[in-house]
Amino acid sequence: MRKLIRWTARLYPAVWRERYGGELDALIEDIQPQWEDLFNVLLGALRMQVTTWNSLKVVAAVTLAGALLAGVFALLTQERYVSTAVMRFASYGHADSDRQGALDQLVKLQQKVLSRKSLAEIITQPALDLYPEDRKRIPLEDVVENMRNKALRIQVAPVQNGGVLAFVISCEYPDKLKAQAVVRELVTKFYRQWVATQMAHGPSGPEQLEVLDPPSLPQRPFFPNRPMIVAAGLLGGAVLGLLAVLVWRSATRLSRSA
Amino acid sequence: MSDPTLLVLASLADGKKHGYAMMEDIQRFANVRLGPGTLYGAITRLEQRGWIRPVDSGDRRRPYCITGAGREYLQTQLTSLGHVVKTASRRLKHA
Repeated sequence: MRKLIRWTARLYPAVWRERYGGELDALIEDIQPQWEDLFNVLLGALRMQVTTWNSLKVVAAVTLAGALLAGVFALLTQERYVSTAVMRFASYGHADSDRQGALDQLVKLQQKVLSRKSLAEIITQPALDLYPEDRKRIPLEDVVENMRNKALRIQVAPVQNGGVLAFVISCEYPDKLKAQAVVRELVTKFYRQWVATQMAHGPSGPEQLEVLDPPSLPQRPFFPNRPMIVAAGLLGGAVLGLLAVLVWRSATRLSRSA
Repeated sequence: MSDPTLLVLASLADGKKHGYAMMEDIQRFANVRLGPGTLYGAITRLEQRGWIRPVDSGDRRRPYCITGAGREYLQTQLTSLGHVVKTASRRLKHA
């Protein structure tokens, strides 16, 4: 134990050891060493290291620690991919009423495609088997709700040549192949629903629903953006380091004037 | 009272002592065991502030003595502490 404490005492800064090292070693020889003495010397060495550092060293150390923490966080965070597809209602009339009709159609189709039953079918498809962990913990209804609110997005896109209304379907998932497969399913469901509506009520509104861009296979995850997270860690660490130096200086000034 | 700097000053108030002697003395009069890291942290701060100074000695167990400024500081602290003790005792009696 004594040996361990003497070894720990070497963690004091060199300048400090030059002045007090011999005395501390002599004290360690004289006492009946206990476990708490080991931690006491370790803590003393760390405090002394910090107090003898100049501001630049403190800022550099905290900045590095920030970057390291951010790096670990970035590595441990699950990747998420986004697949997208673009569909459009095509019409050859180009009338404003066509666009309004297309918007109404889109709302109706979206309600059916994103319904509880429709999404539950996609989630439980054996080939997809989405959110297996969530499904063990929470009811399927909640999984569907989460998927609808957090993973799926249907957005109206700028009108393109020959189209009345274009919209983007996107899905976010940790597996890029599954993200693409879900978007493919949604595109199919949109199309089938549109055909079914046309057959049931007769042709109305735009003349065609077509796929403009097929479901993409994402090459890179959209989250986490690791370089950005590490850069944020560096910046946060630097700011924290500067603050620590300012607080430390103020506290030292106050304790000296007290 | 567990402030290591005050305990060290109080220990040196009656004469020079080296590290181990201070530890023993403080344990005896305050019933506080200062670890080696805490003791030498306090010694470093006190010497930097000029409240104690090392006494020339050929031994590694270098003794320290309290300086005039250290004595003055200790006196101020004890007076302040005395006021707190008196006030607290009076209030306890009337409670």
